[in-house]
Amino acid sequence: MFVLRGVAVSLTFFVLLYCVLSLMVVSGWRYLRFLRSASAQAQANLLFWARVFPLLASAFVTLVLVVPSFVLHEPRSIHEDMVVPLVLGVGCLLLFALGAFRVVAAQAQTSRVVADWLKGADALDAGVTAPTFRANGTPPLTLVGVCSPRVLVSEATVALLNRDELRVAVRHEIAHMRSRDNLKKLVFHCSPFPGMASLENAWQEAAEIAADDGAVASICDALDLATALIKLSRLMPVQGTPAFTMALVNGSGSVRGRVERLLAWDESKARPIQTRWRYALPPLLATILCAVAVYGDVLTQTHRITEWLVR
Amino acid sequence: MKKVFTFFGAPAGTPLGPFEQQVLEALWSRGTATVRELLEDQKITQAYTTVMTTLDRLYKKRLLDRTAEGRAFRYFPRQTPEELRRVAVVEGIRQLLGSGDASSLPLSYLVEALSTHDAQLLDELQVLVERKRRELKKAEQE
Repeated sequence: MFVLRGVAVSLTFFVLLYCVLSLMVVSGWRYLRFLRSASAQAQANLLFWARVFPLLASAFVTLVLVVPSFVLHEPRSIHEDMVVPLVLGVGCLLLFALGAFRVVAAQAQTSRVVADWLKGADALDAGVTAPTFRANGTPPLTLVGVCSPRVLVSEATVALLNRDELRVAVRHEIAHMRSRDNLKKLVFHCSPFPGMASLENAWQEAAEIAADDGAVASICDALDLATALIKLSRLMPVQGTPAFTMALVNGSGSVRGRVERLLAWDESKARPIQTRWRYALPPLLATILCAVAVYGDVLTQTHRITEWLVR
Repeated sequence: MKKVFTFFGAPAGTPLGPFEQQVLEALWSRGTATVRELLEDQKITQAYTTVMTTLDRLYKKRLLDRTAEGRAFRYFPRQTPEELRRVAVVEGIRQLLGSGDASSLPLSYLVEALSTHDAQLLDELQVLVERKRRELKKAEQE
């Protein structure tokens, strides 16, 4: 009974915190746009962390505070009303089930479509060190798969682009591969919440621009990628692109902004900013020490909050 | 912007007149105003009663809100120009789609128009890329 009560209380706390944080993110993520001056990669990262923040923060607080506080402070033999924690705990399990179902369904659809695309596909030498295949009936240029991502290039793309354009376009997909963007999409599917679609779309746009930046090393590359984008945008889009894929072309609306950005490419601005982790270490260590010092008191307070919440 | 006003708020077949548009734009620039305040700006030169009647008409067309302030009303636009434009475009598309006997026909016109627009946009972008390449080549030669 103690274990059941502990699980129910922990799940209740998790689901309540998850909903509150998700609501805050849904209503407030647009204020992150004040960081427009940041690099595309930084913006994409920020949007990603904003999207997964409710899940991570709820899991962290539940595992690090709620569960230990319950184990330490909850009397073993006590008879409390369990209706609220049980109902909310079941709600939390349903949320987990929905997340798992979305991931399994999206992965199954992706695997089925990619298997079709890979039938009769040949390895393609695009001048890059990544598994690249030439296939029929695929979108012009796509990164598919989560665990072992591959780049698929359609026959039309190979015919349309010259070698330099193809090389830089494939490098765009490799930039997505390095950022593990398909894995990030999977994480989004794990943590469903109404109203998150616009944040996910903003992340997708930022991730495309970040991949453009990652693919380009000179103004010639930038012009080649711009030409590739324009040429591939003229192709008929393929219907039913599965969930865990990243395509080079997502519609002419975004193509305009990306091409204009590539035309304005500047080598001095394109240099990656070195993150100086050593400056972050002292405050991080200080935070950890403080957290350890007050951990006992925080557990007591957390237990009071959980008691108040479940009554 | 003119076409926007012909769609939104007004009953079918009653587009907004030029003076109604002028009053609405004056209100957008101020944010909120009474009749007297609009006249004090001197962007509008019509008589007090004309402006008052026009504001009342815009209110009845659900383009403005108002609150009593003494013996007069203070008027507020209900939408920003951007919101109004969005609603107008949606309304225009809705009217287009509902205009024909065969519902797929107007949709095909829309797709055709979008395709043409996309193709033009891509042509323009291609010209820009080519121009940039030429500029780079010229710079290298110099």
